[in-house]
Amino acid sequence: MCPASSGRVSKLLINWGQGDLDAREALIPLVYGELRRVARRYLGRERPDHTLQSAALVHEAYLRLVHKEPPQWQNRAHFFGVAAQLMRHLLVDHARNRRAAKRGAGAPRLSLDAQMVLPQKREVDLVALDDALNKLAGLDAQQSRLIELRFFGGLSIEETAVVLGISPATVKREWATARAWLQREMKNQDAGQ
Amino acid sequence: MKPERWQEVKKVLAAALEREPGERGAYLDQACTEPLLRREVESLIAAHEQGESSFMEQPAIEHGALKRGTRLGPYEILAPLGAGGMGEVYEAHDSKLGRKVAIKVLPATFIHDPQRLARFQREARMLASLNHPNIATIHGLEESDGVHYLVMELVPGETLAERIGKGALPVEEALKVAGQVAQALEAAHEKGVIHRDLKPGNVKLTPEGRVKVLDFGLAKAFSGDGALDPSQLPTLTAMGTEEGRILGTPAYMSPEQARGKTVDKRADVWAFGCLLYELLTARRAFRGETLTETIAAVLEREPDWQALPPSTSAKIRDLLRRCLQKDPQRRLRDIGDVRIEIEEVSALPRVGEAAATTKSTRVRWRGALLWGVALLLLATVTSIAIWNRKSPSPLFATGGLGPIESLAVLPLEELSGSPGQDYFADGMTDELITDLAQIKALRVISRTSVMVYKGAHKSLPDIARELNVDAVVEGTVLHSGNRVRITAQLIYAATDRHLWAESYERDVRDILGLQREVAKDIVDEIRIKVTPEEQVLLSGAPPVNSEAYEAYLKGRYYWETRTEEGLRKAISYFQEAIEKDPTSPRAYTGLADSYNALGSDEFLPPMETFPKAKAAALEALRRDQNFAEAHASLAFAIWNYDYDWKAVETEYKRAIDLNPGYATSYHWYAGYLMGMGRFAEAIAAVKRARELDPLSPRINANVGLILYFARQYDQAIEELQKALRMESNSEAPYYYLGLVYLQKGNYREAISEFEKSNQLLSGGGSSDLDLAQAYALAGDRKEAQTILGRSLAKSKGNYESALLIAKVYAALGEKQRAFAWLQKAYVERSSFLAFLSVDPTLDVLHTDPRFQALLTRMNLQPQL
Repeated sequence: MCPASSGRVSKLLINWGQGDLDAREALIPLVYGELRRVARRYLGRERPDHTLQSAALVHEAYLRLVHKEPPQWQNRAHFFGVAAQLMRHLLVDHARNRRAAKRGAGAPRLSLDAQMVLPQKREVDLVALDDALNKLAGLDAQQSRLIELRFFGGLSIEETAVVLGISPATVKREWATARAWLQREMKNQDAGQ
Repeated sequence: MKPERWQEVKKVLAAALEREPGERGAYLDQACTEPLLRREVESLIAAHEQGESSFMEQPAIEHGALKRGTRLGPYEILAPLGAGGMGEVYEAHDSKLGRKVAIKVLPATFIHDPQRLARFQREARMLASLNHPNIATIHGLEESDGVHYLVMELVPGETLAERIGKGALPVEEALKVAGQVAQALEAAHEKGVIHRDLKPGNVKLTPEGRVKVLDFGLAKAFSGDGALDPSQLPTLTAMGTEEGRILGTPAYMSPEQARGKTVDKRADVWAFGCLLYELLTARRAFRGETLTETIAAVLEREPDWQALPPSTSAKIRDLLRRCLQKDPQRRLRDIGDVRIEIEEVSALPRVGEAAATTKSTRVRWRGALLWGVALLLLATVTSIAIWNRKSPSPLFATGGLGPIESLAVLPLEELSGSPGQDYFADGMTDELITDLAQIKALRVISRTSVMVYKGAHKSLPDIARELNVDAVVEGTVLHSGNRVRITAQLIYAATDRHLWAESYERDVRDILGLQREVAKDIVDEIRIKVTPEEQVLLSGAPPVNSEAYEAYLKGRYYWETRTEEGLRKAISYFQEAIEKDPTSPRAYTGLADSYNALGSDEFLPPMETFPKAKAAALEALRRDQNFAEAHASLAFAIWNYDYDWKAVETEYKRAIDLNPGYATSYHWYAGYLMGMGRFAEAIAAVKRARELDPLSPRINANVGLILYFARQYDQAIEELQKALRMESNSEAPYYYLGLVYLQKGNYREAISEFEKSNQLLSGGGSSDLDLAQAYALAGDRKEAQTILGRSLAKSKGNYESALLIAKVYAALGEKQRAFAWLQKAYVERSSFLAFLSVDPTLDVLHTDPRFQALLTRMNLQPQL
């Protein structure tokens, strides 16, 4: 990690915190690259059945990117916000490719790492969830974002509240209703297939 | 569905989901006037109720059972230590404090019951306040990523159950072990904590022979109320079908506990009796083939007294009988009495001095000694005897440890877990350092160097080695509402040995007094020489206005950032602190430091900031003329603004005299000395600063800078490269290297170093001008002019250092302009103009009378 970009990330985070949406866009490639690097390292080090923890992964990427900067927690929350969205892309792409591979639809294009193994016991169909979330975004963008933060980013209720600028109580409420909606939506999808 | 419709549905749905399933229908009856809405909500409730309750409860990437390498907050899981009914336990590495800990993950059922979790949190907080050498410490209850876990001391060695498995202990050894268990129980009972699940499996014997009681009070914390239903006992539910182990807990359960009655500390006395019996005989005091039989034995049968070894004294037999009285009314009531009897019987000195129980006496005695009343006391043999008994000092007299003359306070860990509280724990760390640093005989590492270890993956002995200290203090801060709790532990570095631990809880208003008490206890513990004046410094402090104090701590937190934005925020917090409490010198000093930093880093015109810094420092001194930090801040402002060298020297010396442990005084004083051409003294001062703050990049780079001004360029390069090897992310060493290369005529290197320095200064800083200077000297006048032009244009709206512009003109050979800008630099009080007489880049101007005139105006002597 070169020091110059460490300062850059911090600066972008600060700017984004002040409402600069271009800064957010500029952050994405930096965070994405780092997330992939960290994820690869994790996977290379451990046995293939080692399970990843999204929050740990994002956290490490964060530490590496804003190395030694004053820990301004709003920035951290914003960072996790971006990372959650990227985690969603990484994971859903991965699930989609695996699905495609199973159906024999040519060589999978793995976005994260060929070795990445998602836990077997997973009940949530990530591809279906992704579709449902896209639909939910049309109804309530904030709720879709909230699910992204909690589920894909591994953010706690409090952290989610900071990123979205709402109270933890609201996060809990929105989480519960969004979850019910998604469950119904995914069930219908399933039935329709 | 339309978004607007969803908002409507969502509102009703949220309210319905918050109700119990049985009440939802009734709620919908009154909330839904329109049948379509109701149908919609009902279908969502149905999806919710039929769906997996675990749906999305875990983040997309699984948590599952924790595998090696998994991270929980700062903890990295190393290995499972076995599962109990109270959750799985793991050995983990605490990356923040560089030590191993035990982590007990709370079962998921807890987390879904907020009331139960809250109750547990309260219990855990209380248990964490137990600090005793024979009790395995609970560091705290933490949460990361939805996983709640207890962080506890990791105790090496075998459990007593394992030890007993190898056979009964010799009587003397059994008593030694039991004595320590009794001490642990006594300390806990004094704090109102009952163990409730004492058994051989819950007591560990470390390789050094120390006894540690585990899981204190957890039985209650997990069950949540006083009366324990046997079937609810954690150990019972844990053990599955293994019959022999199922009987584990009831075998130590007191009759009243077995009957489900309310339990008090006498239940622990009973369990202690069972434990001692088993140590002596390697047999359970109450046995049975089944759970019912075991409980029947507890309720009705007497233990087999014949099984006790013949060498068991009558006193111990009697003690066992009194501990194992079925009627709690007739049982020994106080474990302290048990402890005394065991001690008398074994006639052994107490093993593992109980800090928690005897500390107050000891402190009183030591206080008396420190006050010089000692002479009288020492004359009487008895008092010495008492002293020796109360303070066997296993740590110093016989422990083979060297004296403790230097100390590092590691960043106190913030336990509340809310990231916004960082400033508070950091502030506490800082205050503790400041208090301890006042003791002349003790070298205490400064803030910058210890902050490096916040979140570092290093062992305490390694840290101590790097900082070259004898001992390390670590601890935690919990700040909640108006209460503050601090726990602190002292660890002897060479052997990583725990010397002392204590926990304090106070109102925020008494925070200064609390910190001093911690400092004083540490000083007492390490038995360093303390002068009577120092003793006064450490004895109590006036109450503070808690709001003002918090604002002050936030100010210091932002001050540490040394960015323009951070400094501005710091100023507003310090001003808030002054508004709320105008009597304290601290916030004024903080204000002075902030203005000093804004000026010397040239974020703002120095002409504006230094007078403000000076005024604030004087205000601080008006409130406390002995406030060392304020004298240093005042000196720094005068050095930059008034050029009254005598006053500068007086103020720095006063600051150092008042608080010889404040690294900043030496650091700044060194700056003054180098400006005066007193390089040897400057190096001595900066070296002292470095001893106190070994990892500060600024201080480390300063050695190189002094050598540069002393024109010892090769040595300067060596020092600066050393500084860079320690910390390559600091801009100062690169910048100073550039200056040195410039003087050596290595312009290419100079330019490259300046560029590196600029890269690290993300925005701000005028070091473009140094590049211009380098290009000019290298003969690239065009590039130099371009940069200079840019800076001059910028200087119209913003502040640009006139001194640096003057240097570029000097490098370009344009003397006329150089002097014009030097004149402006003087008027504007350019930062570091105080180095005028020694600055090699201005050598070309030395022969000009205008240079001499400027020196005179600044009260400087020509050098060289």
